[in-house]
Amino acid sequence: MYRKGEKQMRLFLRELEVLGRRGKPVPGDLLDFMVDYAMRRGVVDSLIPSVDFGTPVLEQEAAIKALLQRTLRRSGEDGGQSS
Amino acid sequence: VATDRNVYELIDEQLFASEKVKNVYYFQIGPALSLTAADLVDSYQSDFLTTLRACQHPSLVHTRIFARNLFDPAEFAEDLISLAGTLTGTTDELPPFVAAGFTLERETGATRNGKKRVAAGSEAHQDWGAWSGAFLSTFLDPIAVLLSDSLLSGVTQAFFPVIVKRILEGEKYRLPENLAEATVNGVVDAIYSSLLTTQNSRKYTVGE
Repeated sequence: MYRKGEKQMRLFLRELEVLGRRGKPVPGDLLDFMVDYAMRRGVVDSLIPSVDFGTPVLEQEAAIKALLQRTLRRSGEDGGQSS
Repeated sequence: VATDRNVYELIDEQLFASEKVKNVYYFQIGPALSLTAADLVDSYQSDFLTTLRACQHPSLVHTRIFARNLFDPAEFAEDLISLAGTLTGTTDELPPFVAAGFTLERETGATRNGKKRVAAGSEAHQDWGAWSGAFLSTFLDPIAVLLSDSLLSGVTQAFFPVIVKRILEGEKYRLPENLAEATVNGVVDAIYSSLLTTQNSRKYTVGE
């Protein structure tokens, strides 16, 4: 069944990888917006297996922010930028 | 998606940096409603256009809204308008081929997903090719909601967004001309890119 917000978050994650590979700074409020979006749509559990409906909101926020930062940083460290 | 109801094409023509910019949408009329292309033009302007203009630089001007019934060449309507973008607090507009990108998520596998490209963003709302979080939440998120929602006529849900499959005829694709040959797909959601996208047909010497 289609779950609104899930595909959007997966697209955001793919795009963060692209931004990480570019190695350029991202807008300061971009990650905060994505965290807010995921919380508003209630889709954190579909992105992070350890999160479920019983997980406190603050922990969910921290988990999704960590995932976004990891995605951005990891792809940046890959050195994917072409010369 | 019902297969026994009229489908309309709506074209929103805009002028931006001497380029003609078009956004084309398809809508299926709600069940048991006797509305016309003129009603769709009105609904689009009252329900959608204000939200769309909010993310567009003031140098872009919407000039014409045109709607036609795909299955009845005699039924069409147009409104000549002059409504500029209302994005405030900005100076430099982005080039006409730079756009905010939306994907219309299909209901079934009968068609591919749809795409929409909204022109006339502002330099102030992007950084190294990514939109700011404020721009996404204030402007693009509301547009995405409307792209997958029905347009109202009064208080009635009147026109439902759809994706229409084009028919290959010889070497060219064309739109269906009657119900029997039409494949129409519902839109379950609209998602948007946090990166700036490109619409090549809006580049100088390409397209209209």
